Amino acid sequence: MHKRSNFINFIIHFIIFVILEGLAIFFISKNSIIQKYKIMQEIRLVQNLTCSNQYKIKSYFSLERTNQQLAEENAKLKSFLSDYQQSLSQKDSSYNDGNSIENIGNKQNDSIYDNSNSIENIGNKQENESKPLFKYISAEIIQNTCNRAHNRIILNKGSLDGIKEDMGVITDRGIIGIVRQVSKHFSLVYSFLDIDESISSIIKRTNTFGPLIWDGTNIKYAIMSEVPVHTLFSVGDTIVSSGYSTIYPANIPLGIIESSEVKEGTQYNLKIKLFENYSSLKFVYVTECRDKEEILSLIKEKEDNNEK
Amino acid sequence: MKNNIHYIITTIVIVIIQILCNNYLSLGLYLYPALLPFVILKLPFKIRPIHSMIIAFCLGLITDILSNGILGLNAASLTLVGLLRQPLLNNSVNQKDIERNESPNFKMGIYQYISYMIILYFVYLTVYIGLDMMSLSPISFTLIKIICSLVLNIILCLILEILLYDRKKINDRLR
Repeated sequence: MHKRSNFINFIIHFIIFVILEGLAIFFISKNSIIQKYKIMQEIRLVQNLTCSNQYKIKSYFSLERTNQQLAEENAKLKSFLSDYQQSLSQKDSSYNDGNSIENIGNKQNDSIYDNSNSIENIGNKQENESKPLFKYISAEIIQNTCNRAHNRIILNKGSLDGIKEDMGVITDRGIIGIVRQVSKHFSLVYSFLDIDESISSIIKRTNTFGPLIWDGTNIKYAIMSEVPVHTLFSVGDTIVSSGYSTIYPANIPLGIIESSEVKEGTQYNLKIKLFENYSSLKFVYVTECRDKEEILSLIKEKEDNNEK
Repeated sequence: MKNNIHYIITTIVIVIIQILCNNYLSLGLYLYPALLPFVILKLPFKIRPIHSMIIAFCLGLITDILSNGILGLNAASLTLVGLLRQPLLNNSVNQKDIERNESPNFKMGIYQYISYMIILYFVYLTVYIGLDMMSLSPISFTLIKIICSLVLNIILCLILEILLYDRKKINDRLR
């Protein structure tokens, strides 16, 4: 009798254990494709609320550092603006000169030409010609982890600020991650420091392409793999983003080659020292490709044609 | 009654410390400070595995929700600790202690108590790190991470034990 009750106890314990463990693993598995499920959004909302309160307290104590960073950022933007204005005025003057030389004699009679070259239209033309491929939204990090295999970042901007899922997150010293879930005021970013994520990168000097991955062992280093053995490179060469995607712009500096290792006799694994210090991130830019939908629809069309 | 209140307050404080550690403390890739298993280790002998599993699951889930991490990670790891503690204790505790509603402590023998801690912490860390990385490879890195975290957490547990639970009794016992 005693043995039987022990056996029944064992079965009950086992069933309860399987149910609880199953529930926990269900949560874990759903967490990796979190954006599709409302329940996870509600839980993230609770997390965000606690995080934002903690962030407010934390940010109060780091105001001095924040101000310094903002001042540096402002200075950089001002210099960009003055360069841009200068180049714009040069273009204006050259464009006007071109018109005057080209149209001596018939300018007065040609009303259509005059109309098409009004200031407004010139502005539109320039906007269309030099419209940048990527749009940038600045954001601040309110939560960041670096000590896990799958690290996550929470930004203080959400759908109301124009953030959408699958947007890239960058700084001027590296790629930070990809937006995977968005609430009204916050967004969850899967960090580059995730053993399942990879970035398309190139060696700047030779334009050799290869995926850049983090192997989970050190936040200062990443591995650029699948580099053919005939590739010429040297230690210290810069690695930049390739721009072969609609998520990240090209030429974002990522790091420098520190060492190399031949893998299976056919390719190099390059150890890359990253420029960005992921443990002290504060301000980032969220990137959106303006022509993403057009590019994706083109790819889809091509795939549909192949299927036919 | 006094013991129960003491245990509940200790649990709340440890959960808060664990959440703060998860959110703000980074000791690098090789060290993970985990205080939650200590709460489960210290559950009274009388608590049955069903109850200890449910308590472990709830504590883990609360910590996961309030921390910035993968939801369910602590819940999954702690539930296993909740299941295994009773079978481990059955081998090293006499009936009198169970009836007196005591918690596991140095009275059950210093070596037995420390090995009880080490086994359960090893299980917890293996499951936690395994689920976090979704594999145990690279095995050398994972093993070093488990061992380093195990050493850190056992030291933390011994400090907590001395600070929170009857310093006098421990001193008498050691004499």
